[in-house]
Amino acid sequence: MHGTTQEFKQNARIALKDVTLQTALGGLSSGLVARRAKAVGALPEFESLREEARRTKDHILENLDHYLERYEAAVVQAGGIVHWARDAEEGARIVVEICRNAGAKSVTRGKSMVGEEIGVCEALEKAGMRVVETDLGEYIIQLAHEPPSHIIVPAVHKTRAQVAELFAAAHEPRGIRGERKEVADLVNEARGVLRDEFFRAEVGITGANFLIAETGSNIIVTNEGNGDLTSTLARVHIVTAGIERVVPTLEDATLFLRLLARSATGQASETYTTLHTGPRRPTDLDGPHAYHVVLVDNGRSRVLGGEFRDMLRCIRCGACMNHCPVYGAVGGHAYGWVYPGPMGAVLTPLFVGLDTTRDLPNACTLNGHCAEVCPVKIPLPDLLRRLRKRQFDAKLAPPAVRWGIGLWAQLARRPALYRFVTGAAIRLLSVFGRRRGRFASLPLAGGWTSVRDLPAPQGETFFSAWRRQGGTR
Amino acid sequence: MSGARAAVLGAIRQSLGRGPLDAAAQRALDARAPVHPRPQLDGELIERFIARATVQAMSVRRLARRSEIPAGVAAYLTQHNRPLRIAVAQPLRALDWPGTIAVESRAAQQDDAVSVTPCFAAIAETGSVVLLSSPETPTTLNFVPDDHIVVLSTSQIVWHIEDVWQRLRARGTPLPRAVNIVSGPSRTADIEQVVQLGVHGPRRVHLLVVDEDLSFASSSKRNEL
Repeated sequence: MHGTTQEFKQNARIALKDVTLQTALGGLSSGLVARRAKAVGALPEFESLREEARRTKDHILENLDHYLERYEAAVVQAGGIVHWARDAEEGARIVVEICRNAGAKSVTRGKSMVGEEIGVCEALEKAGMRVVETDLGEYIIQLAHEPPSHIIVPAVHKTRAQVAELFAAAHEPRGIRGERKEVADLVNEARGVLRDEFFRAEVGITGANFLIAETGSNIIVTNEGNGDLTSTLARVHIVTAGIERVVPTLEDATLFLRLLARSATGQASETYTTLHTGPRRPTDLDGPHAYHVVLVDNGRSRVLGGEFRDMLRCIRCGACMNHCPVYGAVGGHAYGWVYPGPMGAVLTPLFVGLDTTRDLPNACTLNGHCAEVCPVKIPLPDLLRRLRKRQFDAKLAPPAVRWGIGLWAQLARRPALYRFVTGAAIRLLSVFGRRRGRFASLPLAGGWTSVRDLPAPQGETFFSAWRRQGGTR
Repeated sequence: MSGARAAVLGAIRQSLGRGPLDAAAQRALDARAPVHPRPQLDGELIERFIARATVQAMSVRRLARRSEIPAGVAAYLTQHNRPLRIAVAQPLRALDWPGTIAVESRAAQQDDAVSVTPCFAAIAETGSVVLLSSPETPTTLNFVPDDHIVVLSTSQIVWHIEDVWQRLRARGTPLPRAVNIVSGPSRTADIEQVVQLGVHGPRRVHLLVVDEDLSFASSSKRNEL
């Protein structure tokens, strides 16, 4: 998928002024955040599960090659076919080939972030196939020709009135009319339309929340049941998954399932947790005749080797973005690629490159909330800081910023000089600001004072006030 | 594409700073049998399951005997004003169904309104039922109809999700194509975060919990807890 990560600042500026978007985003904290807090509060073991999950994921990553080989062997044993893709382009090509060989005209898709990442939808459409998203949120944004703005609730930025307009435009030419006032009306209408698509498609593509090495199964977790209809009714089922989705055993998957449901939607368990293992058996009456898995690397093996390995623990729950003040203000589209919010601000530079994603690691207040709620304890603020350092080392920031940071570093490393310079600056500012008590503009600080006043200092630094008042450590 | 396979595995090993694991290390990993923390559950098993299933928006009715199942289904159809034509999984076909209800056993069709299936197990922790695909229990019955009636025996209820894995391993056969853990009717909160039931899968899930052992569920090879 092509992104607009370079234009983050511009995207964010537009998003902040988009009244409809701001209304839609306003529901995040009362919705998903509150539901998560309640579900986590009801499980006293949550903290110990988090720690166990962190440890287990680290163990898996340390032995990733082994578990992938075991997983592959088990899939083959069950009659499935495993494909490996080095990058997005190869992954998309494999999916297109499978669909072409299946004689597919129509393809249904369950929500898959890896599918978005490798551009499955665009590749299939380019190859002349019809692709229908079946997750309600994904279907809505497909009609709107937009990328997802959230990894769990992809259409969170749309209001019901907007959805009603999209449905009217898409369905009325097909003779489907109806009331589109309540959410229930809209859900019902989508149910009818998509039901036909499930039965019509030759190929169904889903993602995988987990791949189980022990059994060769993929697990998908949904509330709607769209993943199950996608994978059961088509003649061919394709699973696209990142290589880091593998877990050794059913027990390991269970550990993550308990964390995932609570972190993502605040449920004790999602409605449908399904294990798919191979294609239909010879005497089965339904299910796909062929079962393919496309294992996608696309930068993951590289991330495994460096200081960002922790990021590969991510189970894609979305809790970090739900709790992020920046995401809450600008929404997912501003991030310009598949993965938004804190996890996206780390993943996107790692996958897409540091140069075109310069603003992402900087669009963060380092308040740390994301790390506090992360079910696998990814130190997201630390990783964002490391990315900033990499940008600095790679000389990617504008000269003025680099010069300023360099100067600051020189100062901060010399305590005596630091105290002298800040003390002098504070005294100077307090003299000039005494009359009004604040500054409406300051040289070199236009970025700050353009949207708010800087309060004038009281005349001494924190250090000297601390010493004067007899403060001790 | 074997080139890609070798490249990906090679890149992983390079990042891990080692070659392929030796046989002893692989054996050690294969022998790993993790015991992760589980939620502490209290109360009585059957009551806990029914309470959880109710929270998950399933309706539950308890029956003493298996012979009461057809009447239980008929009562549900009347109560919800459903058509008197049901798709029934093969193992339940032999029950004494009233002549007023048309009973068919097959995979689900697009216009099926109601299905009735047995299940493999039920989980008190999450209030879920576990359904296995087989020629007698096609998966489409669990997803296509508007109403899904699941019949289970109280002896099929286990405490934790892990207990289901144990029972599955005890069957001694590979996993079936699909293992569906169902925790209520289909739902979505994709529009304005409003929870709405019945988006793609069944709009309603009804459980008939039978105190008597159900012999048709014998393929589950019940173990003692």
